[in-house]
Amino acid sequence: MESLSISNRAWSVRSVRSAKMAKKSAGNAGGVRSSFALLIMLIVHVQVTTASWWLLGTPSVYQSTLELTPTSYKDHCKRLYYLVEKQRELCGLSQNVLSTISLGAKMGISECQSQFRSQRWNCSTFDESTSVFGGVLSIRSRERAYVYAISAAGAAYAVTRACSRGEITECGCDGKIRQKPSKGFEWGGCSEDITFGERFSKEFVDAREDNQQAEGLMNLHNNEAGRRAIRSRMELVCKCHGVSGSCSMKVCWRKMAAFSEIGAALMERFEGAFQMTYRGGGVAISSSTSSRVAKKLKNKLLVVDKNMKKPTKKDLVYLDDSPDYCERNQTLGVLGTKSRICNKTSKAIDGCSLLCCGRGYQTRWIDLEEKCNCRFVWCCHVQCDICRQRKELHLCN
Amino acid sequence: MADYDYDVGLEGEEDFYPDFYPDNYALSDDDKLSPWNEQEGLPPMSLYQLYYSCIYPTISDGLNHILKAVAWCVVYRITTQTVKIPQQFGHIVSIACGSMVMYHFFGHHLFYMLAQGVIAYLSLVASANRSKKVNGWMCMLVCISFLLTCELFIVDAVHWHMIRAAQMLVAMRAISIGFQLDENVLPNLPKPLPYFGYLYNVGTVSFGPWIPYKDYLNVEAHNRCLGRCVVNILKTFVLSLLFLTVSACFTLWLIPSGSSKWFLAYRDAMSFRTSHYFVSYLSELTALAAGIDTSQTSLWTVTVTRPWHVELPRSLVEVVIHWNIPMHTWLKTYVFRVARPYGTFVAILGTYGLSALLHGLNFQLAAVLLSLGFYTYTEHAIRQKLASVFSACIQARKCGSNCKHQWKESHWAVKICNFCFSLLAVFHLAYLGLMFDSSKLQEEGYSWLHAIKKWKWLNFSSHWIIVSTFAFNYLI
Repeated sequence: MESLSISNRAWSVRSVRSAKMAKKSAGNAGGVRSSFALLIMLIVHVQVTTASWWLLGTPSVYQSTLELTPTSYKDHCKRLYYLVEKQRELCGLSQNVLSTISLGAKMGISECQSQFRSQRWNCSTFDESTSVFGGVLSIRSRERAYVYAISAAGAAYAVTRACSRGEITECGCDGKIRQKPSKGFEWGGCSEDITFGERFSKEFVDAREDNQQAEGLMNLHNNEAGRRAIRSRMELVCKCHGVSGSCSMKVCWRKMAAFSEIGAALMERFEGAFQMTYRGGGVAISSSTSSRVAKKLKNKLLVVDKNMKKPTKKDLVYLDDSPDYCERNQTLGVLGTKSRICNKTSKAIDGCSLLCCGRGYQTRWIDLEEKCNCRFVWCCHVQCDICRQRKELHLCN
Repeated sequence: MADYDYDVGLEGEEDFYPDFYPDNYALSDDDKLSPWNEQEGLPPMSLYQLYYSCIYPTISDGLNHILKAVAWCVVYRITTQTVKIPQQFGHIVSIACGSMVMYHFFGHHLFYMLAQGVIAYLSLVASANRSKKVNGWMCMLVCISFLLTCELFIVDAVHWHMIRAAQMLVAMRAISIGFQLDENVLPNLPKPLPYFGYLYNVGTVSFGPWIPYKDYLNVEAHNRCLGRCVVNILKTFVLSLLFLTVSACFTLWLIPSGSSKWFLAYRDAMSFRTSHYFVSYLSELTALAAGIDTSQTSLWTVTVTRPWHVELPRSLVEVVIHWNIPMHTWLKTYVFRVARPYGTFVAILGTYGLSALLHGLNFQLAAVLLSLGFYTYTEHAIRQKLASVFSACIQARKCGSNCKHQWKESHWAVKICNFCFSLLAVFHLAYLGLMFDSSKLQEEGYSWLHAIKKWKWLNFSSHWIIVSTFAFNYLI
């Protein structure tokens, strides 16, 4: 992470220096050209900072990660421009890391879209651009908190599952792995699967965050909230034992819940998210005691409303209010709710009055084919007819 | 790494975020996981990971139950068999310890077992006053109607499935007393205290085995050769834990979910069978720990099951005999022999039907048991016929040393033939046992749809084979 800030600074220094050089060399007539070059560099810089490892979750990239061979994966990792240095190191650790992380990103994105499908902003992605969720995530809103949390959770979940499948050879408590020094990874003893998954997700996903900035602090907190959601939703699996198959005795163990439950748990946190403000560091002089004590303060986020309770590590935090998702807004990257399918009978946010923001809706009729009249035929299968139905669809104006 | 843990700032400005987790959950090595999911497919994991994520939690959870049961058995044994105490006190201690064990396993549902014992005793008292011949039948009728009433009307599915086995054992004990009164093996109806002491004896109440009344009365009779007893106790303890881990972990690990459907059927059935062996050895353990010894020949042996006779069976008849030896003895003595005068086929069907009824109105169990009845009858009949036609020792049960067949057991052709019949039996076992899987239905009893679905998955092949065998039997 220090390397990140160093590389960031190096990049900006380099960009400024090359801009200066461009200015010098271009001279007078190249004034337009130099500013154009500067503009290009700024755009590229911005692209690097907004494009992130979520790009691994887009369909095209995910497919390509499945086709990596044992020899090509290290080169492939080095070429991914949207990963920072530390992430590329972790990627090169083992062949399956990249496909696992991209599976995690994919799970996170699809769960986000599933949970938000009836809200005004429906977690839509733009597959062809470098910023996966569009410009709307540049606002430090609660939606952004959810996206960070669910993607960190997806990475941890996917890595844990891959560990238990034996797809990542680095994890587990194998003796011979302990002796191999793995770069950038400290073994604190025998780690269990979920601990490894969480730790790996923390190292990978948190690698590009800066804990000196407000945004970085928010992202780090939300990433951790996502990982903790997995722990709090572990379920109990039991096997029955008894005479003639009865259940006199149950033997139980714990298992990770389905990912959709974790998405739902984070949705509850989303609705109760805490708004924070940033307080920069510095030195504060305490004047309450007789001797003046100077304390160095860290940068931290504070709750906006002092009367509310403080958020726990499992809660989501955000800094800015959400923008208005009703109307299309090119500069913010908001798609608006035009042509969304709404539910006429519902009074919740997916009802036509709220979803369409009072603009009204249009009704279309479509033909649907589905199975109906299913019955049990002796012996021994189920036979269904196919019914054609006309269904009405309401689309927002 | 990113350190966003906050520490206390200025006085009056504590901005640290407290952690909290659900009550019984800590971020430590309490987290035991099974990394697999029946639907998701099995990971090829190393042995160490298997140990860590399945074997260790299974054993520790299993030990939690086992040690409690065994502890009460030892308490009973120490109180009643080390010092000389009056008999009445022995029965009272037996009932008390048995109730504690029942409470541990079944909670307040032990009331149903007590009710059944009381109702059975009342029926025995009522029928003893009239003629002496119908004690057994009356008791059987009363017990079965009590079981059916409980299952259909009173108890909910999950809890009934939990106490079903223990209820069946209580009924079996009461019915055996009834029939023994009929046959004059027992001169008079036992007094209430010995009767209840027998019914709820701590060594046999939770998982079995069924022991005859005389073995309960003899429990203080022999206390010699304790070393042998301890050795046998340890042996059964190790075997039960072994079968527990095989059932919960190894079967799922050896045959992953991607294999062909016959391997999967064998795996599920194997998991069910090893679970049964675990429970059988556990019952042996509790019986031995409580000082019960049922064998006449060797000391301190309570044999409930013989796994090797079931895994590599000579025939399905052998499977049925060695699956649960006490229960087989009970069925043979009190049902089969009584119904024999009405014909062999009727007797066999009656035996299995009664066994199914005692197990409760569970379609899946009844289907398996009745199928098993049909299979064993067919197999026995056809092998008998073939043995007499070819004069070879290929019957369902092993030939004695003085059999009149021309080709004896040791001949290579006979051995190959028997081996083929064994493979057929293994196939039938896999087919029948695969329904007892670890799906969500395991806790409330499997429905008929589940049974039919599982059998249809294998295209009812085993049933077709048996029907054709039956037809073949009639043709030749």
